[in-house]
Amino acid sequence: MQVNVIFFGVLSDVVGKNMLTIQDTGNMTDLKSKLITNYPNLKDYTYRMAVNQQMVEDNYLLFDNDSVAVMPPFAGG
Amino acid sequence: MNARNYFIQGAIDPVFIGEQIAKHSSKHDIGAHSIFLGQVRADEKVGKHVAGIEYSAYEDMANQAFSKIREEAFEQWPLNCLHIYHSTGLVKTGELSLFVFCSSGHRKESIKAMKQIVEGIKHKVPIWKKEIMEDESVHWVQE
Repeated sequence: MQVNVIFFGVLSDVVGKNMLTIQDTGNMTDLKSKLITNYPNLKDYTYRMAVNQQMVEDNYLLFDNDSVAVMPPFAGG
Repeated sequence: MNARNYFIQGAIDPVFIGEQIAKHSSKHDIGAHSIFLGQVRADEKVGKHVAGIEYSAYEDMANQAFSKIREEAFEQWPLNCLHIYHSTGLVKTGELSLFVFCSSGHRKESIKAMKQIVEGIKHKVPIWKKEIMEDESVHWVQE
């Protein structure tokens, strides 16, 4: 299975792209650890994650083709 | 799912704001309008001024968040109308990036509602700002 990961704000500069695909990940904790392995600089940033546009916690289970947003603190206005 | 779009490409034109106010003259149960406008400041950072802000958003999720803020405001306050417009893309210093317009029968409700709505927009909507400096260097705003 695979999930699509979308990066927003400063994080798209940190990873150098807006979107990528991660294979064989079953939950958010595992996905976060894979992302940090691939992009160690992410450790220096605060971010929250949403799956299919809903905010989720670390133990959230992921399914094939889920869309995971990695978002720095919001700064609208 | 509410597909309403709250985003305007680029700056919000003050003429548009005037037109929105004028549109409400036929609604005779309204006695008070509250208007909040967000404007891009020329902040100075390490000797350089901000020339503009590039706004980006997770638009689908942001539109849902705006709709939720609207629904909660209507549940909590006796509002006649509530309109929200937020910029996406580049807004230059001195231009407007946020226009919130709420109306009620009396002033207290619209004033209290406005404060809560604007705070909600600041904290609950996935929008990000990248400051574009005079020398075209960039700086992500981290609040």
